[in-house]
Amino acid sequence: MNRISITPRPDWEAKIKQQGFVYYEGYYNENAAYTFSAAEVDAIEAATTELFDRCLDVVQHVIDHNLWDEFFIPNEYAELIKWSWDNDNPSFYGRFDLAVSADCSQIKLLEFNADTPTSLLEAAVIQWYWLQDYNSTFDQFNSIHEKLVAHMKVCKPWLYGDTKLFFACVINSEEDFMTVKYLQDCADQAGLANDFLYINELGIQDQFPDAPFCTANGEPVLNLFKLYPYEWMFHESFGPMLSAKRDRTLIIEPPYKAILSNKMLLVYLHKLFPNHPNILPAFYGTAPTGDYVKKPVYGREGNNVSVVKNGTVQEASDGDYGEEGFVYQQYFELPKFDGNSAVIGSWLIGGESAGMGIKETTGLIHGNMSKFCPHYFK
Amino acid sequence: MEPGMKKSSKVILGAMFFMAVNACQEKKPDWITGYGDGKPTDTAFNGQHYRYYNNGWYPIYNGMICPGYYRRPFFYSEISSPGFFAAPPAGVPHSGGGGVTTGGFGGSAHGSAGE
Repeated sequence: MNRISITPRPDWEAKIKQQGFVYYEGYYNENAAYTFSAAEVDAIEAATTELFDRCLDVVQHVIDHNLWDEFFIPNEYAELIKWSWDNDNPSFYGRFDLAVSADCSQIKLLEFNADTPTSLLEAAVIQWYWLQDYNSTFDQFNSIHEKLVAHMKVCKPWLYGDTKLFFACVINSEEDFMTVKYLQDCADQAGLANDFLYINELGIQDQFPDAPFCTANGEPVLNLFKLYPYEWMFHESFGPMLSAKRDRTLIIEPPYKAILSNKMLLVYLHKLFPNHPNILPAFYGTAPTGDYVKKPVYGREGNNVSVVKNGTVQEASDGDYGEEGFVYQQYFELPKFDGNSAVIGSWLIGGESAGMGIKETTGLIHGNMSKFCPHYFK
Repeated sequence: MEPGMKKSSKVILGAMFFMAVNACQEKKPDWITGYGDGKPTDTAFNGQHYRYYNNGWYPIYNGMICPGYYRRPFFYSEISSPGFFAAPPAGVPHSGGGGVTTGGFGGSAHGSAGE
């Protein structure tokens, strides 16, 4: 793995905006690219597959042992989560954040963005088009688009009724809007009838408690992809409807993602697989010996994270998370490239390793100040 | 995929996606908290909450206000009038009529819900 300086395309801004990357300012870096060997990419792909299998083992363990309190999941949603797991409800995607040594001999899971991952468009589309301009004979670990369209075709029989799949996100985020619109476009290419609404436009029929969710105009929503996390949905006024309407409205990602997107996953991965080469020691509420990273159980985008080395806080981010306590994960020293350290966002589409996107930062915490860089391998 | 390659052989984006891109590039009024230096002044009439901002009152949706959508802020005498209703910006849930309740999800978000 290496970082090289490159010359941005003269018309790069116009191109990426046209390709939907309208939220690139301060986030995209086309002055550098990351390069890999084929063997390094194979190692990342293999680690991704292995880690996903172990994560699924944790889900089974949580369900078998009713660890809802340990995962800060309200007990009233246990049945819904079990049902979605036993039923193998469809999932489109997820992204591991991986720490990788310079030669990729060490690959460690930092976290699993299993429920509401973004940075999808730039990984699937933007860097792919960049490579066509840069050198189309080079390879890139990125079949995300192809796999998304193919997987959505596979998911079609799981959808409720012969009706639309609605895509929903929050109203005030361009990044979320374009992520969802990209997924909706993939669904369109997969031959799925589709529509869009904002998550706060999702409604219920007051007089018909057994009816599916609906649009503000009363159109039934039998299938819903939502870029909105379960940990928020569980505590909002429609939360109880998730269980009541589970046979009326199919929701993607499935409810069992509430276990996978939870930082307690890291603790239980370590508990169940203590010597696993891809899993860092992680504990709830207690710092390990040595250097560590403290993360809120329900943290997002690097908020409320502290990096502690030699007993002192080296870097800390603020935010509103931490009410459920903190997970302490052993620190892994990322290699530096021109003062930058990179985290690999390794994508799973339908549970299969599908590609990666790289984000770099000059600091220790990878949050929403990190910058996306394209990559290729030879 | 091309033989031996790990990258997608083609990435094609459809008309629906480009319509979304165009929609994003149109100038839209910003949603803001309207917080000044301290806690904002909020009030409620006729089931609608309002926040005091820029010498007047704006309807609150999901904890945010959208001053750019309105020509001017509303006066207290307006919002306190029985039956007064300020039309919400596009995409904001409303009582809908026809027995539909919306707004039961979305209240926790202040910006992106992604990670």
